[in-house]
Amino acid sequence: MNERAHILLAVGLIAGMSACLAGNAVAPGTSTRNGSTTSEFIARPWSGGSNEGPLGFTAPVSQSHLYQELADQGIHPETMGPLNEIKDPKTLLTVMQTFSQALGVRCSWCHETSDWAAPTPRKAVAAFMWDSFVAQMQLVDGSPVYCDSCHHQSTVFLHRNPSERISLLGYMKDEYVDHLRRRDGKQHGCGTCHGNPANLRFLPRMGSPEGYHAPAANPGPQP
Amino acid sequence: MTKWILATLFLAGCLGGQSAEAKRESKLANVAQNGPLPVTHAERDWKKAATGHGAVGNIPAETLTDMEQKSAPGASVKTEP
Repeated sequence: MNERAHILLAVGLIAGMSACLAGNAVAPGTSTRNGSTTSEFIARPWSGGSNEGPLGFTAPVSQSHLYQELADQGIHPETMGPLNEIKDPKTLLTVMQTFSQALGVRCSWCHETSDWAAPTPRKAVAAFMWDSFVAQMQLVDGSPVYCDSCHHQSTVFLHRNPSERISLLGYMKDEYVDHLRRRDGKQHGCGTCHGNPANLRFLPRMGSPEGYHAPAANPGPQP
Repeated sequence: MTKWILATLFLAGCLGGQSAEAKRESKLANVAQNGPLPVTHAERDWKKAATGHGAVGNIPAETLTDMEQKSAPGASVKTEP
């Protein structure tokens, strides 16, 4: 064979291998395994884990429709301090409603309906996200980040299974590094959230509450 | 022909990107200068933060049950203004 045939053969082989690695498309809202083999053993079912709801889409970080709704009512989340320091009941309930809308879930996704005040792992995560992302991050153009900027009516949307890890890295670099900035003006990078050494699971953990059974998500329409 | 392709690829590999050492130093300098978000490593009691209704105090359970019903898929979670 001549050199041109060798090149054509190599191109054909690469194209064939790429087709094998491309994966299969899934329908919107389909529940898929979303984690590594290790996560099968260490994931926290009461805080997500195997009960985290249908996997959403890794959509681009967007301007927040819900933030604008809150701002129209004089509520500016990034200036309000920790979630549990909001003093006005109407403001707190209005904010809670936006959580439900942003994630496409009922209140009971985080709360126990028999005791609304009881601590749950998902309430802890919401408090953490409010303090860290809503209060301390913004889009690259200076506009606010809010829950729907990333969630787009999904409880979980980062595709963490091994076959999608590389594309997940690219997504996080594009959307969370290049399209977000810190409000304190300091340089922003992976370490802003993950720290150094990198902690991939930096969300707060609570011990499994006695008798707590996290409900499955009741997702709204997926984007 | 093949030799030229290999030579070009080798040259591109030599010229492309930072060295691992430069990347490591850059990363360390970035983290040392700016660090993670304050809350990310804050020693906060998240269980306490997730307990109760915070500074609001008490919210009637009926109000919350009503919100739960309205937050069902297809229903409007918004309360009347």
